[in-house]
Amino acid sequence: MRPRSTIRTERSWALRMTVSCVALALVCGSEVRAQDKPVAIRARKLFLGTGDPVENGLVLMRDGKILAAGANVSVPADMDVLDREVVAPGFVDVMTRLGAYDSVLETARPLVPEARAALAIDLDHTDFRFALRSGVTTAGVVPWNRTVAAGRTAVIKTGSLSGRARMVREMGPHLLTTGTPAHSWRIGPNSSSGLMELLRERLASASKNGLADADLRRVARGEETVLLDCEGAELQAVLRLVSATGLDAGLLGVEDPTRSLRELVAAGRPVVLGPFELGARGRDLRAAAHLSAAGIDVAFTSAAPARSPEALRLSAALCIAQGMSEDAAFRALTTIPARLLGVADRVGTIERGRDADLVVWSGHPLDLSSRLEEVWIEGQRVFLAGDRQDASRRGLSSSRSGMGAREGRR
Amino acid sequence: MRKLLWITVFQLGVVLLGAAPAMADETVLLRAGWLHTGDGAAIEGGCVLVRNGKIAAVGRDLALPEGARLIEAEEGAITAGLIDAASRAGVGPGAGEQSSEFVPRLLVADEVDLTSPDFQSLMRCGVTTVYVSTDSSSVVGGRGAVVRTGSSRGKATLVSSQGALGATMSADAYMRGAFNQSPFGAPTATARRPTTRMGLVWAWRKGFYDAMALRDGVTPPSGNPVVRSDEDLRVLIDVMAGKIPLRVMARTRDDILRVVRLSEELGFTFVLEEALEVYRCLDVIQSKEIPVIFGPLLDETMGTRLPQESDRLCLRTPSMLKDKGVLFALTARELGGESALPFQACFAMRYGLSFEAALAAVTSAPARILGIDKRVGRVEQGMDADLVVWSGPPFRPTTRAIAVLVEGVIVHSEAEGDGS
Repeated sequence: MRPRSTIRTERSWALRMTVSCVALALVCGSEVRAQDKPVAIRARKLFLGTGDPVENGLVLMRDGKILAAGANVSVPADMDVLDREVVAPGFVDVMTRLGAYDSVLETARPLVPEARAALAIDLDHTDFRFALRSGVTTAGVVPWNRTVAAGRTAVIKTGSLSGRARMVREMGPHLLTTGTPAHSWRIGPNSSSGLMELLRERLASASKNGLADADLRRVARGEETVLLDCEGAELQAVLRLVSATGLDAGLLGVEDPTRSLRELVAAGRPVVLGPFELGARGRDLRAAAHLSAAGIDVAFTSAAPARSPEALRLSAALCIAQGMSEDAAFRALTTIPARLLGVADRVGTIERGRDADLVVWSGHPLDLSSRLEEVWIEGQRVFLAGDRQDASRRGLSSSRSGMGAREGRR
Repeated sequence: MRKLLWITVFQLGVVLLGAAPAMADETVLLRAGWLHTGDGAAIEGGCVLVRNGKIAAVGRDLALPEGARLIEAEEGAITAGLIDAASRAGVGPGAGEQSSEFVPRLLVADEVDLTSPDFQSLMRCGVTTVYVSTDSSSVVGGRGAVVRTGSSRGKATLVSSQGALGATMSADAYMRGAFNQSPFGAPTATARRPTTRMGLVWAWRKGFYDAMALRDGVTPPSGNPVVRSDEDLRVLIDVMAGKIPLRVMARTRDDILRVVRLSEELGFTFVLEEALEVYRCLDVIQSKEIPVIFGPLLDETMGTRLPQESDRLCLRTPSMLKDKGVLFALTARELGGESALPFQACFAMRYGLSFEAALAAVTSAPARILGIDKRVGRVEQGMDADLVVWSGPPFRPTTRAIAVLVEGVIVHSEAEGDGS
């Protein structure tokens, strides 16, 4: 059963209607229709995702890509420039089951590395719109952790002009699991030592060109990043396995990292934390600070739709309150998850050549009182917050000069 | 004089200097009323000098080097750190792999929670090294782990994940739903064998004969339902070649004799674990020179510990093993608190074992069985500084460990505020 709130279900129709209206309004607007025409946004504060934010920065985009971004970007005098408060890269949520909550669970055998979450995703699902509204532009859809090798993650952009989510990478990272979620009395193994032995055996055979394990060959040789779920397993045993097999693994489901902080730091593998909620243990929140201060890459995840995608930003804010640096927290929502999902060359930062995935905020993106105002995916505005949307619709009816021009003058 | 000291009401004359956590390279001098080296020698007023994690000097009247820490127990004693050669610390119940009865490549180390409070409590009662045994629900259940219970970081550390191979010759391996903790009627991946003692012996033979065939270049008969891959058989080949030690858990006399027969037939040597009825076949054990890890012993007239395979526990067994000259160690297995390893030695002494033999059974003998006797198990110059300072004569109910060192690091000390 899908754990969702009743409020959410009731709202979903209203929401679908709203989103459709937004999409329609956008299609009618002139600034996004002409794809080949460059679009420029000036932000009072521009987060490039590569360091400190830039004051009065400008982002120039065309054909879905960023042409230039920064403080010293100039545009032709006659070009319309949209003025915004804060612009930041869209967030990347590494571990979700958006649009595929109950259809990415395959337990035919203890290892099903050939399974692909990409084949089970409903790209029109409302899950993606919730994620979009929380500033998530890219999400990993991970198979459930019920077998040792559960298949490949899909990487999805949460929106487009039509409202439909978009596949970015079908062959995303494999998910491997060594802990209690994968214990099975039915298909075996039923213990963590059994899971780990099986995993070691299959990785060894895969690296020796075993035909049966071709799906895992590059993983076994450490040439491909995997997501390794440690929930309910002995963390130190997992870390020993990782270093012995040379797995390039991002660790999910790490329980109480402070207990094995030293081992985690020695292993040097990225750690995915969260979602954290209000009332989370300070010890757990501080782990993010300790790990990132020790040079470990930390990524946050919301585990949506089981939890709200808002948990992503909340996790970062809570960890900052417990000592994590703002810079590390920002990377934990952008570049680090992008790297884990194998799409760091496309998303995570606002840089020349990257996808033009931006979020416009009313204030600092990690300040929870900031409001999300717009979401741009691949150079197209795919979401506009309700009140701004009303304003633009009024504008449309009184004038045909186009939203962009009007806003440029404002 | 020694007796006199022992029957005193123990008023602690403990002087502990400095409460800061010790570093591994710190120099520590231990001084106590008695020093039991483990070689049968008891040195009155004995001192142990610890430097760089090793025992630098042992003797009477060692001078306190400059800058060294002194731990002194005037009416206490110093022994080597205790060793439990068949513990179940750090692993939860029901951790046994059930998808096959033959899992020789499984590593218990993958299940051991090194941050478990089990190790803390073991360390506080003087246990410094443990071998974590495999779960007894498999016929051949994997390699045990050797763990040190403390370190400078206050946590247990893994010494080896490739310990002795554990196997079972008891009802645990076929009484599904009861002793091996799998849920009643749980559907399992394979029709898990065996279901009788006959099947148990069959599984043993099948595994070992297939291993022999592989060793001798003969392809084992196909479709072996017991063994999953040749790699599993290679572990048994190493066992038969004496490269990997074998542990067999057996309780009743019949089961013990069954393993002895199989060892003759299949050509392996082994260490016997639990062995509750070993007193009923001591001559065989003696003549075959089979080491025994006996226990746990509960001070009750009948062995009531589950599973009740045998109600014929003999509390004098340790002293009988000693009289026969069998190499034996005592284990508390999963028991802690008032049944922990020091109390196992206590019970053994209550039923006739001498102090020196009891000390050996929890220090040097388990070290020999684990093959780590060059490093731990005795108080001797050059050995690892795994040491316990006791408040009085060791293994008395009124005695406690007041300081514990693991590799020269003071991992437990009453100066740091507990128990004192």
